[in-house]
Amino acid sequence: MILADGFGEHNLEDVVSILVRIVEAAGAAIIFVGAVIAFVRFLAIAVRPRGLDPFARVRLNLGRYLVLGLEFQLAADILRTAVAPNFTELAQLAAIAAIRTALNFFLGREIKEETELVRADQARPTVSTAAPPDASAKPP
Amino acid sequence: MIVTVVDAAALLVAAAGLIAAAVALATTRAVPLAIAVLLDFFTAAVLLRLAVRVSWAALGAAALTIVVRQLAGRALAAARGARHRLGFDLVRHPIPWITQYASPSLIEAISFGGHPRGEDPRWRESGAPDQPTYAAWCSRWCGMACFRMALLARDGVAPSLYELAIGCAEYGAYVDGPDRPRGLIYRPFAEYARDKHAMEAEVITELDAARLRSELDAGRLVIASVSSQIRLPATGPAKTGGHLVLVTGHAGDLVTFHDPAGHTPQAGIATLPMPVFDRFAAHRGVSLPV
Repeated sequence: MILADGFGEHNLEDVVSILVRIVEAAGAAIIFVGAVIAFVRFLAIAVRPRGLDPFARVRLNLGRYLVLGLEFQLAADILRTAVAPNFTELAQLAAIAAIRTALNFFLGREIKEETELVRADQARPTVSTAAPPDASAKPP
Repeated sequence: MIVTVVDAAALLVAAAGLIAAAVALATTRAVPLAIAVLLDFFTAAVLLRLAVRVSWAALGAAALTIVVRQLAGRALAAARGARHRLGFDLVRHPIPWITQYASPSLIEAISFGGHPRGEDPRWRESGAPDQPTYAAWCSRWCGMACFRMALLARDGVAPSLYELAIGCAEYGAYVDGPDRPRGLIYRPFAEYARDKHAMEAEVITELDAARLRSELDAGRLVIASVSSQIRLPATGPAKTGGHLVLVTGHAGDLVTFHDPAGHTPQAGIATLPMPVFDRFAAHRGVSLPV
């Protein structure tokens, strides 16, 4: 089939394939960079332990990178539907899109829950700093 | 070429996940957290592979990742929930009982029998450079013992009582009196805890029973000012305050605390009805997130 403007189907496939590769590579790069950053932060926390919260924050950030990378990969899936030639490939495409969407949903939910936990921890009640001096000077 | 690079990256990420999970486990002893960390990195590795290799096996691995992530997430949430419900943390180290005197067996003789507090054969365990220094400090170390318990609960390791006290003194939490150090002064202590141990200690000047429960429910430990007579709760307190204990949890109307001057194991890790604890309390203290 020749398109009206003379742009061939094979040419269209080639262009879409390149676009898919670029978008997928961007998604993969984001995920990889996120994993590297998380790994470095984990090691930094290990050098100076500070309890559980810092780990939760690093996981939160890693989760955000994963979600962003997944968004790119989903975009690549959508692009790929333009050139999927047979039923098997279409089925795989649908499955992979479904799994990525599910992962995206669950990751998003985890991030939301984790963010609420971190916020709840930060929103603890504060005390007055205007206490009389002797109130804070108790032995031993 | 791209496939090879991405495959190598996925392998690297998976290996990093193993190391990060081991680090998380070694640092916090929190198994659910370590599993969650491992799954985070494995998810990243699976997604990387899926970016270049679309196969039913890769899809199955991704689907399995989702299921396992959900199960691990529930386990972590359950552990957190249990911590908040029970007032103690399932995912941190056990809270040890640390006494302010080097020999717990001598506390009764020191407190009630007139035994000289400096004459303790185990004084070196406090980290003090010499026995007179130990003798001058040990009766003032209830706050340091509480703080050390909290650090051990969080990190599994902690400096000696003497090192902690000297660190606090540099922040003004102990000041030299005519014959011995005076303190613990809460605000400089809180600054020291924040700066040197990354523990966001919070001074509380109105520590009533409700506030104490809310701090414990939030998973924190509380250094509370009480009378040292709390060791003998059947007696009435002559005064409130003057001594510090580490409150570790509550269940219903009962409150559990570690007393650095407990003269028996039962007095060292004690559980009292909240109204009884309240009679001995000065209603001020320091909250410690661990």
